[in-house]
Amino acid sequence: MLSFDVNVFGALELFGFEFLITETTVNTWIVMGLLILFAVIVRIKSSSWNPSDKPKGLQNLVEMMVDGWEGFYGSNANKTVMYLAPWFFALFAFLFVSNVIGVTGLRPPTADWGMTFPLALSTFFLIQFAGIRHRAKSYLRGIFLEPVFVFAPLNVIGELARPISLSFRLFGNILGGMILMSLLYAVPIVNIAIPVPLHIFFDIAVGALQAVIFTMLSLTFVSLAAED
Amino acid sequence: MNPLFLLSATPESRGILNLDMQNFIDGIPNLLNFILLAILLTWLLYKPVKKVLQARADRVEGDMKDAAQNKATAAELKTQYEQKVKDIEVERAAILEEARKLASENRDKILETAKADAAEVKSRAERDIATEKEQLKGAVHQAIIDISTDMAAKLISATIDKTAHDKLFSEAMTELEATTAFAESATA
Repeated sequence: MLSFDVNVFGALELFGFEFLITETTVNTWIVMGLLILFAVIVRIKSSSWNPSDKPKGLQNLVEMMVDGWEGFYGSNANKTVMYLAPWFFALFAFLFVSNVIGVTGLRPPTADWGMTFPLALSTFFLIQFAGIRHRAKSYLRGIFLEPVFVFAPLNVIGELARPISLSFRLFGNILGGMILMSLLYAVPIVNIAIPVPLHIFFDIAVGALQAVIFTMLSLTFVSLAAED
Repeated sequence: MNPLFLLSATPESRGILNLDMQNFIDGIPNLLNFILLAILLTWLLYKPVKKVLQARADRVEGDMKDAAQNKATAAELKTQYEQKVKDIEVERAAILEEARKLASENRDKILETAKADAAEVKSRAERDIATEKEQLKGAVHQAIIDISTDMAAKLISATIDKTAHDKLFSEAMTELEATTAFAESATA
């Protein structure tokens, strides 16, 4: 029988709480490991990179990634929150690899709300941080006094809804793709060749798109919060 | 105290839509994992690459500044060169004018000298001609005297009488005077 539940491998008890070591946790470590390995290679190689030389190979790739990201971020976010570009770069990289890792047969970590909600929650805290840091008075007035104070509860609910909508959008899309693929693999004969183009669509195209959407929305919210 | 891993005590799986407290608790290490990843990616990848890009941008900016400075220097040199060319043109014109003036003065001087020399040569030639005329006049005079003397000697040798001698002498004298008068009119 097909099951889409998250496998639990163990648990860790700390500070009175029981933290489950789930398939999501392990796959998150795999994604982190891949990204950190790549970053370590870049770090080692970058020590010998000369700005005067013509970039090639890995240098070309990572320069294109970082420079492209700076350009993308700069054209979508407020200049006052440019210092958050590395955070959103990491967010996009993590989401992209997490979503795309489905092609290997691993369960994408983002197909678990327990992963997408913390990420969305980090965006929620960043929104509050940027709003209070860059324009505390007008930001708080916008939530509690605009258009009139009676709308404050609605505004607060609107603020709280953001991480929920963000997390469920990503979770739903990735989980949907994963369920469809699992169903296809369960059908005899169909599972021989049909899943290949569908993997390209659900894991790579939708995965990349959802990573962009999540990151783009997050940085837009943060940027708007910082903007006077 | 509970052991670190509770494999036997924990469930084998967790429902995908079990939005319970356990989900929030499990979210904490996931969030911490991501924060750790973000820090590592920033430190290991983003910043070193950004540093290289910044260094290159600075170098390019420096090169651009140098190029702009070189361009300005070149423009200044070009202006100076054009000014020099203009100055040279003016100087050339002045030198040419000076040379023309000098040449003109020299020409006048040479012409004057030549005229003076020519006048000197002419006057000397005139003086020589006059001297030669005088000498010629004397020579003609002497020749007439010699001829007359010879003729007189011949006549005397034929010896006519005294009356004839006087008559002849008188005729010879008249003839001599006529000849002298003729020579003088010819030299004049």
